[in-house]
Amino acid sequence: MLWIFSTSITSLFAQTKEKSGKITDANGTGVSYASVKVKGSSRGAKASADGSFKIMVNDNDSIIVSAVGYETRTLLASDANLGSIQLQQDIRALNEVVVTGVGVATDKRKIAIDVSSLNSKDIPKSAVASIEQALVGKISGAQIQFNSGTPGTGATIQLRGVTDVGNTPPMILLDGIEVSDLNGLDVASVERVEVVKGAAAGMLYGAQGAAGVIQVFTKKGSRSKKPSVSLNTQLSFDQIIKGNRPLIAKYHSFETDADGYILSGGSKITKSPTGQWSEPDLLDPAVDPNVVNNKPYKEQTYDHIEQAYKKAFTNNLSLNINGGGEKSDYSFTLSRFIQNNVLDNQYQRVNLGSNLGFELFKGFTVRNITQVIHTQDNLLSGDADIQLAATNSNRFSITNSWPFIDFKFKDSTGHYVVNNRAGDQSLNPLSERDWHQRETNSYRVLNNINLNYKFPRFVELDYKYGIEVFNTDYTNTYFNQSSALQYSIAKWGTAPLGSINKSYARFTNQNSLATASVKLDFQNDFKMDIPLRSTTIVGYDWRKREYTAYFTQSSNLAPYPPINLNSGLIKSNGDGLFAGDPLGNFAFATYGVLVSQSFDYGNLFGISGGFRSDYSSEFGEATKPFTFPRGAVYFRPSELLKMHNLLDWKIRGAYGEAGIQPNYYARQVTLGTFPLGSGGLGLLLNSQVSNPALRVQRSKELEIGTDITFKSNLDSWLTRITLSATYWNRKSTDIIQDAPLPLTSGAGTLTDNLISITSKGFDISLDANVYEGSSIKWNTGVRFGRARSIADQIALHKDIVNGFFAVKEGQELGILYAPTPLHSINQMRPDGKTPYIDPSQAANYEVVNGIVVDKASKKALITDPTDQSVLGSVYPKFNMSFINSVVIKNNLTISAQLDWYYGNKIYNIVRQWLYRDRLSRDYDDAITVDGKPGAYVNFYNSLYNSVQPISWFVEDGSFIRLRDLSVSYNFTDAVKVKWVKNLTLSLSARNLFTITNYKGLDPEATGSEDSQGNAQTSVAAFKGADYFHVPNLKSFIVGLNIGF
Amino acid sequence: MYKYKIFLLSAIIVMGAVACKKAELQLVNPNAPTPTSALITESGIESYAQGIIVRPIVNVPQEGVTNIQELAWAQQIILGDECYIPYGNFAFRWTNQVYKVTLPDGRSFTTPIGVPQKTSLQGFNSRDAGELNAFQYEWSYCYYFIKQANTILYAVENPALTFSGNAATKKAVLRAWALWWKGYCYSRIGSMYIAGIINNDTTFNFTVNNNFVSRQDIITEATRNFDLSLSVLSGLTNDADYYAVMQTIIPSFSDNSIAHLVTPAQWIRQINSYKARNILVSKKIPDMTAADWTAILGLANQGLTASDNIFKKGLTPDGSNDVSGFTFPYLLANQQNQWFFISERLVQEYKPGDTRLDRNFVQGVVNDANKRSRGLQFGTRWIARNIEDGGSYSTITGQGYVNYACTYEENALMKAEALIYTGQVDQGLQAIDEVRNYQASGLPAVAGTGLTKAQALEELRRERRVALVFRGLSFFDARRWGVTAPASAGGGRVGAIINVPASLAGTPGNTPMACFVEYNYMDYFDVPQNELDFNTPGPGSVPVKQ
Repeated sequence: MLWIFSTSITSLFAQTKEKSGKITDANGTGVSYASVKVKGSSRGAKASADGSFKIMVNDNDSIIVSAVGYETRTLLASDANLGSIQLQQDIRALNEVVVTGVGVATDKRKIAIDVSSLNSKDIPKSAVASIEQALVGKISGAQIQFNSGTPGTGATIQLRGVTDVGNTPPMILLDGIEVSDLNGLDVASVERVEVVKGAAAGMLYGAQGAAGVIQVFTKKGSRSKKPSVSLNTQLSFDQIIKGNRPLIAKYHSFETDADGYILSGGSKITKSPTGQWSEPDLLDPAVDPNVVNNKPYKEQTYDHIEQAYKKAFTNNLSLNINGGGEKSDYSFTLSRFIQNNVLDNQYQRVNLGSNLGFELFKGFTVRNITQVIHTQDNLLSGDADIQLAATNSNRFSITNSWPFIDFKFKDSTGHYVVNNRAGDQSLNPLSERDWHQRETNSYRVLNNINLNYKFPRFVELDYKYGIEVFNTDYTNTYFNQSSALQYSIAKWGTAPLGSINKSYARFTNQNSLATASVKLDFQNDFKMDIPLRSTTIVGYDWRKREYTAYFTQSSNLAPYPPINLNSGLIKSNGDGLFAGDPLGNFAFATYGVLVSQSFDYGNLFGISGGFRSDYSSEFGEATKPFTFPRGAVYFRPSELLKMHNLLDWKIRGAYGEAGIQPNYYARQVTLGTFPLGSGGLGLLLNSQVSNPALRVQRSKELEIGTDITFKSNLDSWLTRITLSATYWNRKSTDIIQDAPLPLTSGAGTLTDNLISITSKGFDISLDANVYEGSSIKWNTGVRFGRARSIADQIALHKDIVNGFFAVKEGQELGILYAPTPLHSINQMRPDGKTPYIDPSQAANYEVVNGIVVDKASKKALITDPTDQSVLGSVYPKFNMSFINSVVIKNNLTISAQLDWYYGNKIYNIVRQWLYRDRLSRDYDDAITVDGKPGAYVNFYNSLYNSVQPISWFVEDGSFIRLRDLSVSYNFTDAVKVKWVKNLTLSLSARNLFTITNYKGLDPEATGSEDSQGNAQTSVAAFKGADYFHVPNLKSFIVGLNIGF
Repeated sequence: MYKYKIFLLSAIIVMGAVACKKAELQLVNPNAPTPTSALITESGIESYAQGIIVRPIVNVPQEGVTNIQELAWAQQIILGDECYIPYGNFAFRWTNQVYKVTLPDGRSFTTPIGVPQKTSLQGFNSRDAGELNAFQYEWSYCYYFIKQANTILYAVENPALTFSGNAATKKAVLRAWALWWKGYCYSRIGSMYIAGIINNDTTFNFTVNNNFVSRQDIITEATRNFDLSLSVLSGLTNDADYYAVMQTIIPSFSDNSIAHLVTPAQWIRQINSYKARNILVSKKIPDMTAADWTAILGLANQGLTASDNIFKKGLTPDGSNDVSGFTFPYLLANQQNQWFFISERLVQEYKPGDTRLDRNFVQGVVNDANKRSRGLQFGTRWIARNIEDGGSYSTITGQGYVNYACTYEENALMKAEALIYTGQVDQGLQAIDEVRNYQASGLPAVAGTGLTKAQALEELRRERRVALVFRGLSFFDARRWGVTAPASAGGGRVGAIINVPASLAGTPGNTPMACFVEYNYMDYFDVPQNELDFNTPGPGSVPVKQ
C-alpha cells in the first residue's frame, strides 16, 4: 500500500501531459493491444485494436512499447516519433504468433501446447507439387508418407502414432475453416502452416480433433503497400526411383535345348500369332532337387521397367500480386501446374486464389479468402483409377514377366500385345492406351469469409463461415475390342465389347465458427498492481458435409465412333460412383460449444482450462453430446533466471481430450441394396451390422514439454539455438472395431466401441544459427519424432488378422504377422513339446543362413500356419530430418534436407510374387547346403509357398533420403534493373538418393494392401505393404523467381 | 455506433441461420432402406426375397469382395477333379492337392507340400490363415442365406405387410422360397461338414446358439424345411399372382421369362430330386441299404423331368448388375481368367464317339505339365470351348447358366443307379441312354446290350462324370465311390491320365500317361475356426473337428 501511495505522489508532482500515438508494424498495420509503459512507474496504457493509444507522460520519461511477437522498443517521451511508433517483428527470438489450438493469436512463448509451424520461406525449392511435399520432414512427430509417384495422389499423414484403427487423417483447416483435404492446394499460395498433433491441443476441435490438426494460412497482402508482383516458374524433370538392386534375376532355370534356348512343351519357346508367348518349361526340383538357377538367357532380354516408365516433365508457373491500401490488403495468386506422368498422359491443375481484407470502419474488418482449383487428368495405369479400390495391378506385369518378352512388340494389327504371357492373366500396360481412355475433371472452390470486430477494449467478436464445393466429373471408356487379335483371351475393362462409364460427384463442406473473446489486463484495465491477464473464449462451431454421386454406364459399345453413352447396347445407372456403392449419398452434421479461460501472470506463467461439448449426427443415437475437457499450464524460468545466454525457457504441460467421429451412418441399421439384372433390386441383410448406440472415439492426451532458446558466447558461432521437446502420452478408448460375429449368426461383424490404444512418444525439434558471419550464414534444423502405439484391448481379446497385418492385444499397432522359416533343428511347435523335426531325423537337416533346410530336397522348413510370429511394425521406431541452409554473401543459398526413417518393416509382396516365377534377383544367390554351393531353386520355391504370408519377405524398411538439395542465386543486385526487386534462379533436386537395404524399388511407396492389391482398412496401418505402387519420383528442378 | 449495431445484428442473423437444432442431426441414411420401412411393402419384401442371392458377396481377407458361394462351387469342381486350380488363392491349391501320383514305371511322386490334403486344410483352419481357410466359404454363405430366409419368414407374417392381388398366394410363394433355401443350405452343410448349427432365429438380431449337431441331424433339418416348403407349394398353382412374385424374385440374368420360371409342380419335383440326392450323397456305397435305394427310386420317380424348369443362375453380358465377378464357373474356365484348367481325368471319361467332348473342349491350345512345380496333377492339354463358339462351360461375354440345385440328368441318373442297385439293370441303362440322348451325345444305346451289373455301374459312373460336369456333384460321387479315400483304405484311381512333363517322361515333349492317383482327401470339412473363435460348442455338441 505504501509503495502504491508513494508512486502516486511522484506522479502528482511531475509535469504530466497526455500524448497520443499509433503503433504499427513494418507494413503500417496497427499492432492491436500493444502495451505502452512508462519505465519505472506503474503508468501504462494499452493500445486499441488499431494500435492507437493515449498515455500520460513527462517529457523525460522513457516509454517502453511492447507487443507479442515484436521487438520491444524504448523511446523518450519527447521523441518526435512517439506519434507513430513502428515495431519490428522479433526475429531474434522467433517468437511467432500462433492461432491453431489456442483460438486467439497468441505469442508462441506463452502457449502451453506444442504447435509446430512452417513458414513459406522455409519451404524447400523442390516442393512443387503439393503442400505435403513442403511439410515432409519439417514437423517433428508427423509421419508424412508418399505412397505413390502417380501425379495428384498426395500423401498420408499421421501425427503422433496410431489414434484409431481406421487411420483417420488429421483435420485440415484453411485459414480457420475446415476443408476436406490438402489435395490440390497450391504451394505458392501458402504463407504458413501450423500443426497441432493430438488431443492435448485439441481444445478447439473436440469431437474431430483427436488425430491432430493441420492449418494452412494463405498469403495475405499488407496495408499501405504498393503492389508487388512475384512470378515463379519451375521446370521439373522426373523419373522413377529404381532402388539400388535389380529386381530380376540375371539367370534362369528353364528347360533348354542343347544350344541353351528355352523350351516350351519340348520345343523352343515361340510367340503365337496373337503375340502370346508360350509358358516355358521349368526344370522341376521335385524331380531333381539340385536344380539351380544358373542358365544365362540366350534369348534377347528386355528391362520392362525401362520399357514402361518414361522420363517426364513437370512445369509450374505461379504469379502472386499483393499489396494494400490504407484500409485494405489484397493478395492474388494464380498457378498452373502440369505434370506429365512417368507411365502415361498427364495431370494438370489451375489454382486461383485471393485473400482480400477491408477495414470497413474502425475495428471492423472483413476478409474474404477464395481458392479455386481445377484439376484435370487423363492418367492411365499406375494407381490412377478411382473406380478401383485396389491398387491397379498393371505394374504387376511390368515387374513380373519373362525377361525375353518385348513389351514394345506390336502385333500384325499395329497394336501392342494385350496379354503376352500365356498362362498368366497380367496385361501389358503399354497396350492400355490402345483400348482405354479416362478423364477426371474436378472443380473445387473454397471460400471463407471472416467478419471481425475488435471493440475498443476487452472484447473481440469473430465470425467465420466457409464453404467448400468439390465437383468431380469422371469418364472412363474401354473400347470395343472385337477387332483385337486377343478378343477371346484378354481384354481391358470388364467386358470385351467395351463400356463407357460416366460419374459425377459433388461434395460440400460448410463450417461456421463464431467466437467471442474477452481479454482483460488487470494491470492496465483495472489499475491493479498484479500483471495478470485473462482471456476468455466462447465459441460455437457448426459443420455440415454433404455428398452426392451418380453414375451412368453403357456397355457393349459399337465398334465405330463416336463412342458415347448412346453407342452402347446395355445401359445402367445409379446412385454412387458404381453399382452398389454403399455411400453414394451422405450428409453429416455436427455442432458444439467451446468455453476456454486462461490467465497469464506477466510473462512468467499461465494457466488455462476449458471444455468443448459436441453433438453429432453420427453418435449416441444423434441425441447425446460428448464433452471434451482440457487444461494447460506453462512456466517460464527464463523470466527469473535472467541469464545472459538464456534467451528464453519455457516449461509447459497440457492435458486434453478429443474425439474421432464414427463413419457415416455406422449407427443406422439398414438393408443393403444391390441392383440385379434389368430392373431388379435385391435387398439384403448387411454382413456388417450397424450399431445405433455408437459413441465417439475418444483420446485423452497428456503432453509435457519445454522450449528453450539460448546462445553461445561466441560472436559468430551458435548465435541462437532453439530446442523444443515434448513427451506425450495418449490413451484412446472407445475406438471403433468391426468385431467378428459367429458366422452362424448370419452376419460377419458388429460395429462397436471396443478397442483401447495407448500411445506415447517424443517430438523434438532443434533449430540453430550455427554460424552468422558477415558473408556466410549457416542455419541448421533437426526434427525427431518417436511414437509407439500399443493395443490394450480388442473385442473378446481375439486378434484382428488381415493377411500379414494384425492387431494383437499387448502388441504394437501396425504389426506384421506371419509364419517364419524354422531357425533351429530342434525348434518346437507352439505346444512347446512337439518338435517340428523328429530328433531321429535331425541329421537330414542343417541351418543355412539362419534357416533350417532339408539337405536332400534343399527346401526350407516353415512353421505351421497356426504358429505365427510378430515381425515388427510398419511404423518407424523414429523418424528424423536434418535440414541445413547456407547463405553466402546474401546471394547464394545452398540448402539440403535429409529424411530418415528408422526401424520400420515392409512386407515386400512384389518380391514374393517374383518368387512365384523364379524371377526374383534372389534366385541368383548361391547358398551352401550339405557342403555344396548352388542357387538352389527348391530353396527359394519353398519360401514362396504360394501367396501365404511368410516372414522371409518382411524387410527392414529404414531409409535415408535426400529429400531436397537446392542451390539458388539471387541476381537482383547483379542485374541492377530498377524495377526488378528480386531475381532468383534455383537448381534443385528432390529424392536425389536413398540409402536403404530395402530390396524393392522404393521403401516409401508402400500402402496397406494385401497380396492381391486390396487396400486393408481397420488394421491400423496405412503403409508397409509394397504392392506394385508406382515408385516416387526423382526430380531435377530449375526454378526462376522474378519479383517487381 | 450504428455501425456496431449493424455488425452485431448481421452477425446474429448469420449465426441464427445456422443455429443448432437437434433435429438437424437426425440424418437418415439416404442410400439404403431400413427393415421396418421396406419390408411392409410388397415390392420391399420381394426385393428382400430376391436379395438372398447377393448375400454370398462378402469381403474375403486378402482377396477383396468376392462371391463365396461361387468359391464353394469351385471347391466342388476341383475336389471332383473336373478341373484343377494350381493357385494358392482361397486355398484352392491345397484343396485339390492329390497326395501321390505313381507313374506307369512305378516312380511315385508325393505332393510337393509333403502332407495329405487333410493336414494342409486343417493347418489353415484358423482366422489367421485368412482366405486360405478353405472351410469357411460354404459354411458362411449357407448361414447367411439361412438368416435372410428366417427373416423373410418373419417379415411375411407381419400384419402391416400389404399386397396387391391375392395376398395369400403371394405370401405362400415367399414362404416356399425361404423354406426352399433353408432346405438347400442345410443340405449343403450336411453334405460337406461333420457338424452344423440349426439357426431358426427369425429376428433382426444376430444371436446364435452353440448346440452343434451332427451332419445327419443337419440333413434332417434340411428335410424338415423341404417338407414345409412342399406343403406350401402343394397349395399353389401357376396363376398370375404366382408368376408375378416369381418374376420379381428371380433376376433377369437368371432368365425370369414366364416360360422358363419354375412352376409349383416343377418346384415340388425339384425338392423331391434334392431329397433323393441327400440320401445318395450322405453315405458311401457299401453303407447304402436296400431301403435307401428304394427311397431314392421313389423320390426320383417324383423328381425332375426333361422339360422341367429349374433354379439357375446366369450373368449379364457386361458384368454389371449381376452377382458374379470372375468367380462364375464359366468365367473361371475362360482363357482370360485361367483359373479352371480342364482335368485330363475328366476328359478321359468321355467314351469314344461321344460328341460332347469335341463340342465342349479343345485340345492343343495349352500343354501344361506340373504347372509351377506344384504337383503332377496340375497339367492338361485341354481348354473349355467358349459358349460363344458352341461350347458349354466357358464364356467371354457372360453367356450360359449354372444350376443351383438338381437337374433332370441328375434325377435320371439317380434313378438309373437305384434301379441298377435294386437289380433292374436294363431299366437303369435305359435311364442312362435317355440322359445321353438328352445331351445329344451321339452314343449308341447301352440298354439291351446285355451289360452286367458291374458294367452298368461303370456306364453310370462315366455318365455321371460326363453328364453332370460343373454341377457340384463330382466330389460327392468320388467320396461315396471311395475314390478319394487313402490308398491304404482302397482309395485312389487306376489309369488316371496325367500329362507327364518331358523331363520326367523322358520324351521330347510332355506325354499323357495312365497313372495311379491317390487323392487322399477329407470326406467332410471341419467346422471353420472363424465360427469357433466366437462360438464355443456348448454341452452336448457333437465333435466339430476330425
